[in-house]
Amino acid sequence: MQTLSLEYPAGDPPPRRALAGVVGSGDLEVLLEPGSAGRSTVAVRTSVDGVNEIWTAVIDRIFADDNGPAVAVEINDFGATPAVVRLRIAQAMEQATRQSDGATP
Amino acid sequence: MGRVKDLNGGDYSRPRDRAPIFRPHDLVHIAPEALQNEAPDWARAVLANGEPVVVRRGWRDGNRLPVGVRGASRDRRHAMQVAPEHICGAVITPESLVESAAPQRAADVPALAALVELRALMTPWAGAWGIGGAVGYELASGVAACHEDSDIDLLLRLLERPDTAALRRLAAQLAELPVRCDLQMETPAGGVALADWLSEAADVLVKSDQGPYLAADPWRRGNL
Repeated sequence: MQTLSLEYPAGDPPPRRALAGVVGSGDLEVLLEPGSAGRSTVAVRTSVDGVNEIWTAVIDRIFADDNGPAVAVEINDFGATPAVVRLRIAQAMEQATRQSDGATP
Repeated sequence: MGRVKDLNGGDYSRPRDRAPIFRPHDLVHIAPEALQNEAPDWARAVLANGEPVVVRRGWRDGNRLPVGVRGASRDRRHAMQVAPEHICGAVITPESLVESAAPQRAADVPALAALVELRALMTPWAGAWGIGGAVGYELASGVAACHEDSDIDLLLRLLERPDTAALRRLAAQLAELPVRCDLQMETPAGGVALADWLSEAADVLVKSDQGPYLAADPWRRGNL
């Protein structure tokens, strides 16, 4: 088990928390909560050794926008590929930032 | 089924008596010379030991099959493509492993000990379900791939969308087993985790040969 903590400049926090993903091989769980204004934090726990560099590269890209939503993200990884990581974080981000529940088709 | 070794992909939710022949989670034996020069030494050792490789999801051009060599730890996975002339013998399907006798190691490995109970509860899905992951690998190869904390990776082919109540019942039964079971449904769109489909989320993650994507309903035709 390895852990990784990352931090990025960000804009304002989103209105609500969100969950995405499931426990299971090749997937991951994302718990995303509104963070403190101006700062996003990402904590990754992974069962795969030796993949910290890949994780850092993938997450750096996702949080490259300094004005993105300020979120505190916790990730439990079960061997997800970078493409799955991006989709699951995007899914959680979309839920957290949606203007009001059910308003968008 | 066309050619002797039809490597084409397709709809993996179809029953096994139809194409595609080689599907994700299947095990095949390949000739060691199929490994490229850059392959790690541990991968060579795995093949030299007579162990199979696992068919992967991935782009198929009909001439090469995407497979992965499985090493002893989770960071030891070597992805490669294999040409038909390097594939030896018949494909070992996850469905064929469900009747395997529990190995001697059942006393030490809870996942192997749970197989009897698992088989009983999967009876309604006979012919459509199979065992993958470390348990499937160990059943197929006899290699001690499982460890004390291994979970069970299950696969269920569902050409049509099943009744949600039946899936909820199945998920509840699996949750009662003494070992964690992760069930992946093979749908016409690709692999979808049962837990994901039964969750509140609007979309599920679909693992396809073209890569993962999100979809609302993996059984709806014209999804793409």
